[in-house]
Amino acid sequence: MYGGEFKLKKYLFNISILILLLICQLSIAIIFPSLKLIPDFILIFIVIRAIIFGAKDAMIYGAIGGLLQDVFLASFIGLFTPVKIAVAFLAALLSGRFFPENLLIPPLGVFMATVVHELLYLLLKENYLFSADYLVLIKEIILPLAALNALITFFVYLIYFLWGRWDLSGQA
Amino acid sequence: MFEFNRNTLISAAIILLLILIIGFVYFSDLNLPFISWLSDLVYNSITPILNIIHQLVENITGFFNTLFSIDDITREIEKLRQENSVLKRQILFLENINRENKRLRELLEFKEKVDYQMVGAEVIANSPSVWEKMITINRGSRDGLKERMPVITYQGYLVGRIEELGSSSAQVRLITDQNFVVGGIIARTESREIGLVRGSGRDDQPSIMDNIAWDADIQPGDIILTSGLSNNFPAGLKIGKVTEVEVDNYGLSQKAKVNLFISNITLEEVMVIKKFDVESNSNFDEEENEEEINSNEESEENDSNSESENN
Repeated sequence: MYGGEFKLKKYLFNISILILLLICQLSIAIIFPSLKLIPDFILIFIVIRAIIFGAKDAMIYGAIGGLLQDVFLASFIGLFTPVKIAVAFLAALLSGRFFPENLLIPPLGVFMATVVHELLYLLLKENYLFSADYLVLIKEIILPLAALNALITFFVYLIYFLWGRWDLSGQA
Repeated sequence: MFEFNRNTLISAAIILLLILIIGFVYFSDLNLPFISWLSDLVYNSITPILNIIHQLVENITGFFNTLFSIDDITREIEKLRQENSVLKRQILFLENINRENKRLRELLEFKEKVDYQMVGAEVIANSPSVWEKMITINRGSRDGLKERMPVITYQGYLVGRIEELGSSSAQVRLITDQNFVVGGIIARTESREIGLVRGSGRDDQPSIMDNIAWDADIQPGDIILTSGLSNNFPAGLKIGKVTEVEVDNYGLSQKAKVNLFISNITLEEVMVIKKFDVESNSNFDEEENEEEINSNEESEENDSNSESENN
């Protein structure tokens, strides 16, 4: 009984975080108009969850995050839903393979996940599939975006890690 | 380690099935009522929050701007007061001219050239992806907006068209998006050549105007306006300036790089053209080109592959 209620609360809490991240993603270019790249906060959240909690958890939130993102791109079921589920599954392969103290693994995971995510999206998008110059796009958009996402992940994971340490030391 | 036991295989099969169902719904363009309802619910629930955040950010930046530039504002007010008195005199003068213009139009039975019915809107959100160039505005079906309505800036630059509608917000596909195509015409007295302006998908790169006749008189520096041949956009909206012209299709046609006017401004407020007079746009005799442009724009709107059609 308590377990079910706790799970529901956990899901609602995480969905609220996803909505908050989507709002940040939608508003960031309005607040900073000179920003050329839009960091994918939802992807960062999903990859971090995949690394810490495993595939099942991350894929559920990957699907929800993808659906939320697609709603703001004129279709409820769009390309971000399957792409984010697939990336969450791949990112979960890193789960349980490194010590939490290793602060560089999550940013590295997000970097690779961003590259895979953007390439998968381009390959599935029909107007980019045959007309895009992939080398230029990788150099000018995908790699800088992956670096930006990785940088954000480093700070987010550092806060998460320090918070966990503080929590374990009994001060919370 | 990752182990492939029975449960993992079942999970993988379910995931694969889920991805296939999602893929099928996406690629077959199925319009399921439940999905549409859910999509509208999510969209209409999130956009009011975006509106509040936008207002909040605007208030905060406004407050600090006022706080740190009080001297400038005082000077600006003084300058604007002077300008205002000059403009008032000009308005009186122009009102007389306008009355005379109307009277003469009636005498000559001229049709009004510009007959737009517009509504102003604020940009409350940007695209959540670098690949899709879209914005969300704070006007929706409640304000009388409909899909495919053209969106412009206050300066008259073409911004895009409405793609998706919510009750109090709408998504606008920008002219920079790779899916966006609009008929363009050169605004020069000696040359009225037409072509199709396509978004490059990048904010930092010019759009391409192609399908221009091989012998067309087009030069760098030419201003491109909407041709209005397709009935989707009114004629005369400013699109951009030609920067480079090159031969296309092995000399059978030409294409030009067009620097969009909206690339130089920050989109904060836009105007949606709710109604425009289509008849006033039919100034052209080139029936064949008209048909071609119409079919090309329509086909792009139906998300078909633009490249294959042109080749």
